[in-house]
Amino acid sequence: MTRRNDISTPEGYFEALLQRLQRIPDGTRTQAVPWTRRLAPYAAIAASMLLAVTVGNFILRKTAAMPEDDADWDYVTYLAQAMDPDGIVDLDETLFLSDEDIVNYLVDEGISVEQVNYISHEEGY
Amino acid sequence: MTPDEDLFNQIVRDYSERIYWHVRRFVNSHEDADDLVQDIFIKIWAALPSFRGESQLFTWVYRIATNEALNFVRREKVRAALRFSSLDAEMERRIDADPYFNGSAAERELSKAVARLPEKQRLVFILRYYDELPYEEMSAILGTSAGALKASYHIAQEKIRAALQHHDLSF
Repeated sequence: MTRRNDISTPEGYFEALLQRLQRIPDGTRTQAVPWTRRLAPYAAIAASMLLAVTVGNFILRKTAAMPEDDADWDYVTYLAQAMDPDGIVDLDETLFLSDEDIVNYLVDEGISVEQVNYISHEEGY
Repeated sequence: MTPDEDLFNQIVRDYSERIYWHVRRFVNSHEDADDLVQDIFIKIWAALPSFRGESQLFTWVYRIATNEALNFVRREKVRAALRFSSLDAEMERRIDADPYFNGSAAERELSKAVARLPEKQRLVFILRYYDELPYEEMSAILGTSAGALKASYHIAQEKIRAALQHHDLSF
């Protein structure tokens, strides 16, 4: 058994091939494949990769990136506000009430003037 | 008829069948092998004026054929990648679908195992096992030392033995 017995050709193929090949000199010698045709598959791969990167980048920017940016911005804003000394002073000032504020509050709450005077006296206001 | 045409016709008569079988092992398809043989002989005709007889005609012809076969396989690899497939899968599909394959199941597996070899090992295996070329001629065609070719063939043989361990096929 020769090592070619596992594959065959159509009947009469080699006779036809011989005749076909012997006609090659009748044609021209300038039948080289142009470089554009040779590079076409590689250009297609490069274009596909570029498209994938562009689309992927666009999708990422439109979806994942924006909420992260917003979240970062919110956190930075919060930190800036929290660390602002003027903000802390303003906050502290709201905690200090005058006697008048306290008395007005008690009166608004329905406490009698006598009781208010008594509480003020007891508490040393 | 010019001297070039005489020489070309001699090459066609002496080598066309041999070149066909050589490239058929690379491409695993009669139609592609037919196209490739035509391209190879067009190249041979175009390059004939540059053939100076420094190498044997046989070596020169085989080198052109081998380069064209390797270029074809590389192009197929790129095409397979564009289809998100692999060259191995494409070659296995071709072997299974080849209407001119009439070997045994073991020989089919051998063809598939050869198609799965890395490029250089596949080339060495085809030249040595199927084309039955001596290492000296292989060395002249590939520009590699006979020792390196023997080592490549040995590694290829071991891989194929491992792939065919369940089949009764000796080589």
